[in-house]
Amino acid sequence: MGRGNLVALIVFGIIILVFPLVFTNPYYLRVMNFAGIFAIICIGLSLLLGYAGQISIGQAGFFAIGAYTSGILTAKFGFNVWSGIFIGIGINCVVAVIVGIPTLKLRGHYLAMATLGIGEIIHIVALADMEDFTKLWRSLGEALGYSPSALAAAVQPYAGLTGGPSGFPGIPTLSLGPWEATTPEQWFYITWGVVFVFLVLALNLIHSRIGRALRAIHGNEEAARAMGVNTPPLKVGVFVVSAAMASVAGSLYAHYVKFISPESFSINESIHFVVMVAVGGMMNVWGAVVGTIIMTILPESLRFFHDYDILMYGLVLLLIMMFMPEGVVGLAQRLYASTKSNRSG
Amino acid sequence: MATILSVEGVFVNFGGVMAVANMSGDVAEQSITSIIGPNGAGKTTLINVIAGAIIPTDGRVIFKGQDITNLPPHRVAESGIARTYQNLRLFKHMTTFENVMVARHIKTRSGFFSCALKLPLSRKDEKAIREKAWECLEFAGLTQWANMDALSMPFGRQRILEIARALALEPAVVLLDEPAGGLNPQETETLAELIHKIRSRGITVLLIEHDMSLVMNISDRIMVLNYGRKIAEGPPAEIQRNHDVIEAYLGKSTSGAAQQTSRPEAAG
Repeated sequence: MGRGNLVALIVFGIIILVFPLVFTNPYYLRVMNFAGIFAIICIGLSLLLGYAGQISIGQAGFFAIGAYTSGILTAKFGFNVWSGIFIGIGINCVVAVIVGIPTLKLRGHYLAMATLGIGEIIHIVALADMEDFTKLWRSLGEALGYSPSALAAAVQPYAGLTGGPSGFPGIPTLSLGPWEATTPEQWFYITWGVVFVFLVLALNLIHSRIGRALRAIHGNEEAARAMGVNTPPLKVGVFVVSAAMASVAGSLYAHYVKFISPESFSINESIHFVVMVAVGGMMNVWGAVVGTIIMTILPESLRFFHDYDILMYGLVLLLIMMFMPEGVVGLAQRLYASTKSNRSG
Repeated sequence: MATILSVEGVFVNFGGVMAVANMSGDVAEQSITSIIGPNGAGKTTLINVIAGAIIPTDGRVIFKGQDITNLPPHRVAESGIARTYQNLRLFKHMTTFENVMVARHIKTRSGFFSCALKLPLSRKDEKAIREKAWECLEFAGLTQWANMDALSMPFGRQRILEIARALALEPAVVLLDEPAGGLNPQETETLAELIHKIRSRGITVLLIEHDMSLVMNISDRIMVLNYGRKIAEGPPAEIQRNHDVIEAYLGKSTSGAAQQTSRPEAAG
């Protein structure tokens, strides 16, 4: 993956190890834990958006599937937390394949709209309460010619599992045998440990035949096909990878917060993830991590402006997009390259 | 020599405009065969038909005895036909080396899992990809540009990179769409040498070109297209004397004087 990335990974690893020792304030740690969870989603989105050139405004949907699968299985059916995480990944992969095959034939705005719609459908399913489900099954029963009440009775135990608009509490924390994650420090190492591992996997992927083929699709799709790259399975594949990463993030979120509600998985969140990747720099998977940290800390630090914080947030975004469209990491790379060539030349 | 590639009665109709009409022709194995013709004669369309980018309205493309007419571009590439583009289509944001490495994609098999985890299969693939891609860069004389962003190379080098990338597919036939377009005379000479070198590797070259001196110098056989139809075919010396060809390039002469003094080079 190149020496630059290796050095960056080592530095990044050391920062992760040292951070909770320096910043012991639980508030800081909690903010960073959420940043870590979002960074996991953004690494996957960066592969999809920056490398394969396919946009998704539906990542919150995959995030939700991971969170709800873990939450429901562990809180309501007593599953082991780890099985919840892996079942969540499995469900997300299946959904991503089913959704990806038709939608990834679309381009640009159409792909954006399609993924936005899918995210919204998943959000609506999470929002649905007992009454909605009963209604749905009743009409479904009528359409299929079953006795409506019999079908409704049969699915009754499963309806309303999501807890509707108010969500549900009581999700256990992450545990392994007798050990349980309880403190913010432990959660910091869990979330950022996963970020680190996924970053390594993403970098491996980028610098492999698959990663190059994806970048070639982005660089010139027609030429990629003429060079023997069969584009549809690759596009679906990277979509599945991004969904699986979002799923892991969702599971971690559910076990960390111990309570989930549809609010955390709305379209706004999906857009937020795209913004994080864009701010950090789309052309580099490190951008996803840097962008997530900036966009998580920024709103917190803008509290100083009280009621005007939203305004300042928008202003900062506008300035970043206007003056560094390649993102923070892209700009840093360009500056570094120019100082290096100045010195040698 | 045996025929490696042939088109049989190909028609391409673009919403009423007949881009290629009843085109038939054979390309001999290990030959350098050129297609010439005025702008809009249907040359690039024909390349697109062979490469699978356009499915013809009628007719067939036969490669090594197999009908490849309806194969998608990536399958055509896999079967052994590589191409370059007249208006360059290099991969943006990738180095010269990486551009060539992409063409080794179909020669390797490791999947998402293996690549992300750097399993032995993926490491082995990566090594093989690098070796072969580097060899292609060396063959085309591009090693000094290897780690440069492909699109920041000089234009002439970018044209050569298109060829190097096509060769990395280890094709039996390479389709070159106006490789000399925009090159200076010196670069064109280097290109001619490269094309000869490609042929001496046993690769058949199908060339579309406007540079008449290049075409006349290196071609074994020439096909002339005009308004989507083949109007002549033969070795260079024959084509240079062909009445219809001169007329296609220079227009109909009433006095006949132009035919005697002008040769197709003048129109190049």
